[in-house]
Amino acid sequence: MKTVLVVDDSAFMRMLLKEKLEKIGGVRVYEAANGGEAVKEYERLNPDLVLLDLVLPDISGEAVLAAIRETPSDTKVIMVTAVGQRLVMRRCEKLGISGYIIKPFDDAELREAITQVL
Amino acid sequence: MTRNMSELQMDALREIASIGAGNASTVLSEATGSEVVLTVSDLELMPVEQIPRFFQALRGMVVTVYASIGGEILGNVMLILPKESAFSLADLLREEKAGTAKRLSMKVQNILRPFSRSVLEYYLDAITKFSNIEAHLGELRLIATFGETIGDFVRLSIGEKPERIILLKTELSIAPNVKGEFSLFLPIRSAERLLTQVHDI
Repeated sequence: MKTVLVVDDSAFMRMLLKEKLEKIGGVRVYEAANGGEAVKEYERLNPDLVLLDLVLPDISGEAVLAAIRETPSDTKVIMVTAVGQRLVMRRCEKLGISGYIIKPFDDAELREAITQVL
Repeated sequence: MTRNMSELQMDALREIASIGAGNASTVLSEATGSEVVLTVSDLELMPVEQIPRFFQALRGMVVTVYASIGGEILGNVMLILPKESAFSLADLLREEKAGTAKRLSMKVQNILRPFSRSVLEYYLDAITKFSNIEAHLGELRLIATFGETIGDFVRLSIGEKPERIILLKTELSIAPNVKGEFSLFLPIRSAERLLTQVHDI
């Protein structure tokens, strides 16, 4: 069983992503609604994959990604965000991500990105 | 005022606005060569007559680019910029030195109007793609007015006169001195239509 942490301020989006992950199967899904919670959950779970939103109410998804990359771990991170700005994407790529999915995404795109890294 | 809509439904509407603003921010960023920072979206559900209250915090002169939404949902979408921010944005788009635009001249309007249309189209297109709904922008209007009067303007411009309306706001900023917001207004029936389409909640 792989562990996935879904980080998004929207409970609705977390629910959608959880449903899609559970359809893929073989995963245990955990959730975080803000950046602070995300970092804490990451440290507690050391998940296989983090699906990470960029715009969060406290610290940005980019800051969460930086915090994750400060720790030695094999955790894969896929950004799942409506922000497709190249400047931001490049910075995230430099920090180390396995994918960048722009909302609204289609199911096949999400499935492919997730199955590639898990 | 929110007793008829669940927390999850309101959250879904906020996410819909965030998806619109996120996609619109990409166009803004590409055109200005700068990062566009967004806040999480706010939602208010209110009777139409209370719309002006939503805009009370906007002080001074603002430039508002506004278009109605038609198709399977009705509503309005706006890009609201304080006057100085609108001028700074025009300078960025024209690659002019900061402070070049000093008034809402035809030249400045001719830059802001088509660009804003493109930005608002991206905003709406992302929402229609997410919800699999057909909707389009109507005629685009650019007005300069005092911030606190926008609410009256919106109230008068809503065609179907619904009893209650959903207002969704996402603030944006572009360093060093552009600040503004996307505002989406949806009659309650259109909001419910969107919610049914994105997920049966």
